[in-house]
Amino acid sequence: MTVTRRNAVSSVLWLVVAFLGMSALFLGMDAGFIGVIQVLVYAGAIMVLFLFVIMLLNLTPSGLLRVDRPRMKAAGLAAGVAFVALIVAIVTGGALWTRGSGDEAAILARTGSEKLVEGSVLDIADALFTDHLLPFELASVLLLVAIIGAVALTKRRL
Amino acid sequence: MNLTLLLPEIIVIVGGLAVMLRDLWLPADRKDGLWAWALAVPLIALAATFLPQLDVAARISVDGAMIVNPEATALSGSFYLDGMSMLLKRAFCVAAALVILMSREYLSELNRGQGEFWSLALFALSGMFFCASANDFMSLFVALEVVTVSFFVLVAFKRSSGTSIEAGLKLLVMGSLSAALMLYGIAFVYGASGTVFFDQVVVNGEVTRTGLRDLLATGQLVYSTELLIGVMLIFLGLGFKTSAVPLHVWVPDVYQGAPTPVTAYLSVGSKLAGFVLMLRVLEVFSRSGPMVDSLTPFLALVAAVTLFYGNLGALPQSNIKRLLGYSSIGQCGYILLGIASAWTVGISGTLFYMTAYVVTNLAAFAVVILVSRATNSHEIDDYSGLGRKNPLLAAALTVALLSLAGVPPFIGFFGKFMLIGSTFGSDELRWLGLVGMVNVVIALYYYLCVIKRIYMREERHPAKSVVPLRLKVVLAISMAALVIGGIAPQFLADKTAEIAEELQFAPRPRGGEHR
Repeated sequence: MTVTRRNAVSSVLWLVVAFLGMSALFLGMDAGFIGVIQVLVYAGAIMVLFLFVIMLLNLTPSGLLRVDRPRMKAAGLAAGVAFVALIVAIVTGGALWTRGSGDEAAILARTGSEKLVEGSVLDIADALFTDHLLPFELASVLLLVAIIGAVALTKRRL
Repeated sequence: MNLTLLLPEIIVIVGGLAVMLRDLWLPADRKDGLWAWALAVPLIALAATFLPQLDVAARISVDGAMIVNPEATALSGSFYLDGMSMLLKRAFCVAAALVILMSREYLSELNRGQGEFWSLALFALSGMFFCASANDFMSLFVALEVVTVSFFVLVAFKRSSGTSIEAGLKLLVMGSLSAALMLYGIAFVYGASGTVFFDQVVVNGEVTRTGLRDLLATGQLVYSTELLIGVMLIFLGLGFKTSAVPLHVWVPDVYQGAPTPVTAYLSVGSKLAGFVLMLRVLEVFSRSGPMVDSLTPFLALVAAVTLFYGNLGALPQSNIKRLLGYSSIGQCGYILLGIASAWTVGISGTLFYMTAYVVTNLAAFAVVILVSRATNSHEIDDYSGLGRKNPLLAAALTVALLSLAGVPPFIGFFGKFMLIGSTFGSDELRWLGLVGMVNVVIALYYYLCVIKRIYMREERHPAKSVVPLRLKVVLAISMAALVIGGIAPQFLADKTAEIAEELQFAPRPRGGEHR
């Protein structure tokens, strides 16, 4: 529904539904924390930002996207067929994609973790502050660069 | 926790913050002096890389097998210090220092945001440092993004110019695409192996996480299609940084549109960061024979196409920055020759060429900056008669271009010699060496066309370039490096050979064992 809506605002609202579905998937995998964060960050904060931007752009009905070129329709159809083919291939020929990665027990033995899915607050904190401390700290530099960049590029007088 | 190893990185990040804060305290008329602060940072970091505390053996021998020394890693294995990362960090420091010296004039003309410019340049440097030391896919990705995001802003920094904004936007779009491809590849590798670490993580003498190197060495991780797809996607993503085909389309436009000092920085810093990560990833997977067998033709093909694209594309160019953009695609192809050959001599040549490329390219861009300040254009026609007007400047550009073309006795010749020579060791890659040689000739043609204009044509612009002291220093340092490196390449070549030895690529070319 997100991509079929003509009105961008409806698209965003449908995207919220998609995000809620994704968070339900996380919950289904025993990753409660990620599920909740998904709702808070994506469905909440980011969507509000999207809506703000769309309303600032002030789209008029004439400016709304129209798909009436035959080539675009054909491309969309081809992409759809490819997608269905991919799903069929994965469901029927699953062996191709699991070869080399082994079953659940083998993955657990290799990664040295106890559970297949680690989604609790403790697990995430553990991963962020021990194994992946460097990328975590480096992300702060990345965000700082992004902030400086945004200011440098948009401020009229510096 | 071994935080001493991160000293150069910490210096650069703190320096970046210090420059930014210093900017806030300076009155507007004294901001021109900020460049000295910015210049001090890479120089101090360069000095820090020579500290004895950072001189840790990268590999140790355990039960007859060479493994990564846990003492040389920090932050649970995410950070790794070996000869390659040290060499590259020094090269990055030199590049950043020379670029800062070049940017000063440009910035005072721009008259806005000096503090932001310097601190972004320094943060980009810190990102390159972390690229050189990245030892897992997460750090690799975040470090690369620090470099890329800094460059988005630096490229678009000249806001009054439409081409600069356009260049920034093009870089942003292509950069996002390549980052997405790379992330997808990392997800494939993670899916196949269950780990993002290159090495096992050792905490208090106990192995807590396994790494790709160990999985491949013990045969727990074997060749699979998804692993290959993943690694290829990662190489594509890194190919964006190194301007390899097929993610090269941004290069000429961005090189032309970006402020010239930023173009110079982009052409060495960002490119080398991509190459060092390519080497790192390739080294990790070089333990697996089938992986190397499948990756080599892929890399060889990319190298050949990149060579032809860059060098043929450069032929009709009339803008010197565009010409250098295409030439930089071509140079990327040469470096890929060495990477594709994936044996010790090729890797040594790769590292040699990467180091040589820094000084050569920066020298060329320094002259471009000076000439364009006098003539206010980047057309190659405006270089006519430079030889009579500014003989020293003309000589510097000639030397830089000849070195890029690979003419002895300059440093570029030995780099190309090692790279092309390395492909002839292997039966399968001999064709690639021939492609490389054909391209040397093509490249020589367009470099010589520029040189011909400099010396043979009548001058069009009587305005003589005034060379400020800072740029004299840049030109003197790079010329000295070009000529000394060309006359006595042994010092650097020995160093890179030692590093290549340490990296444990195959000691012999593939398919060449029988000789």
